[in-house]
Amino acid sequence: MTTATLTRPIKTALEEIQNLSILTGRTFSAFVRPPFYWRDTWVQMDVIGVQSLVIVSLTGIFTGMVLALQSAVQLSSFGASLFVGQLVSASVVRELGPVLTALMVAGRVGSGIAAELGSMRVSEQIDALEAMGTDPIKKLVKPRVQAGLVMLPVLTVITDTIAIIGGQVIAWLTLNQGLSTYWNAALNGLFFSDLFTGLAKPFVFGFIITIVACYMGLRTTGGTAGVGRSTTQAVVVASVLVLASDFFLTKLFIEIFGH
Amino acid sequence: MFRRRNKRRSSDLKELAPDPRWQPRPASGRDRPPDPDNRMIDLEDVHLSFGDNTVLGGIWLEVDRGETLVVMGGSGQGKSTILRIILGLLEPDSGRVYVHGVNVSSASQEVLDQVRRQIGMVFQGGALFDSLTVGDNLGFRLHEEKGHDEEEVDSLVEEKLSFVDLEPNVANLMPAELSGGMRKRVALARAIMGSPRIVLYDEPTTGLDPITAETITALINKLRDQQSVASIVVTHDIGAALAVGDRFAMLKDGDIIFEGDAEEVLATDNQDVRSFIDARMAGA
Repeated sequence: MTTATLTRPIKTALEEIQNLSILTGRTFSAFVRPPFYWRDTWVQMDVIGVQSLVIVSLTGIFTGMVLALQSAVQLSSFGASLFVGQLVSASVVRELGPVLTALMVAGRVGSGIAAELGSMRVSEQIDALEAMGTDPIKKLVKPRVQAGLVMLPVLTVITDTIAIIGGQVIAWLTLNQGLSTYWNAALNGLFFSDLFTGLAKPFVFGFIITIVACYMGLRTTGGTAGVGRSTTQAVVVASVLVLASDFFLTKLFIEIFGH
Repeated sequence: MFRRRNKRRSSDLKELAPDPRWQPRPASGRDRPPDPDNRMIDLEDVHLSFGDNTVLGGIWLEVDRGETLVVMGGSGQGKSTILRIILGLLEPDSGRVYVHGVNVSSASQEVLDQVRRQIGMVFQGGALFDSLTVGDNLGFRLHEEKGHDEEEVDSLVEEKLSFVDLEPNVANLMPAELSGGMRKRVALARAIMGSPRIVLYDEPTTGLDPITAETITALINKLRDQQSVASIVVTHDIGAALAVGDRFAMLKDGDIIFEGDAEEVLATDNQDVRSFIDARMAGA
């Protein structure tokens, strides 16, 4: 095995990181340089946010119900079933809400963005944009990233709320727990740091999902087969980066807030 | 991949001044001296390689106002690459590319964007924006430039659709609803929306039936005759090439191996050109 064979994957990985960094830098620079394409951002907020409502609602309700079901069994054996609401709300707001919402959006929106931009790349539509003097990063990437930054936190709040409601349904059905008992426990289990963490994470995840999907779409080569590859890579890379960044963000917030 | 060129102060952009080093050379096969006012495109010793693969090995080409240059050659010979270099979508490794005297190979992004507004490009597959109607595709460039009201844009859309022999109601259709020939005509209409001085065509008749191909070649000639645009047509369709070309260049292995007019093409004893033409004629 030659040195070149060994170093090629490292060189390729470094080139990918470099290109993604350049795209990120140019996207942020486009945030403050006209034209701003607000109408495109508005459309993308609908695509990323409104059209993801059903999927994140389903994710939220079943997550909350499963959490309540599992914890009801365990906590009842210690006579601590009153804490079901607290366990559900803390778990969902701190971790499960942001991460599961991000993973669902990565699957639905990330693949959609990569497929759309990839198709535009292989059918020369992006070349056509540039040929007409339009910067594809301002026109295509920036609106998607802006929409991701705004809509992921909104979707996460919706997931969190629906998950806590789902937990309440199970607490009522299995433990015959009253509305006020459950909600008092759920709200008492939350601190400012939980709310801050729960909103800061989706902001970062929204950026990761959209920028990775745009990057994979724009670098598509190889016709329709290439579009398929880009779509898969967008979902896989965005999902892994969401989980990895969740670990580091959690570590950071624990350092900041002390718990 | 995502690099943009350096910025330049807006005061530099008020007019696209020709590069002082630009010296238009006489077009091959013509006796008259070059006229800087009429010279629209000059490629000087352009080299481009992708890794070890040399795509262009020192290309010299020139096109004057009201002239159509046909670049012929087999697949993968770098014909479309020439168009991408003129548009600044690819940067050559060395050499100079002048569009009306402006060196696009070293231009800032703003200058390049201004130069691109003088060029219309008809892509091989049309490259119409799938998510927009035909009317919005045509109006895209004007909406991007700002300063055009809706009424003006609609009127220009109708005018350009009429130029390519399409009904005004086509403006309401989506690209997916168009036939191959209609897509090419809409792509041509979009390319000429800003009244460009140069139009580049990438395989304009590929994949079309002979009658539709004839319609497209007639439109290319109509555009040249009525608006005196300078055109480069990249094709391996020898019938279409002879129908639209004023001059012809044959590209092989990254070099221009032949240049001349239609008579010279048909009379040449250059073996590569002969075998290309004979093979295409036999194929037709």
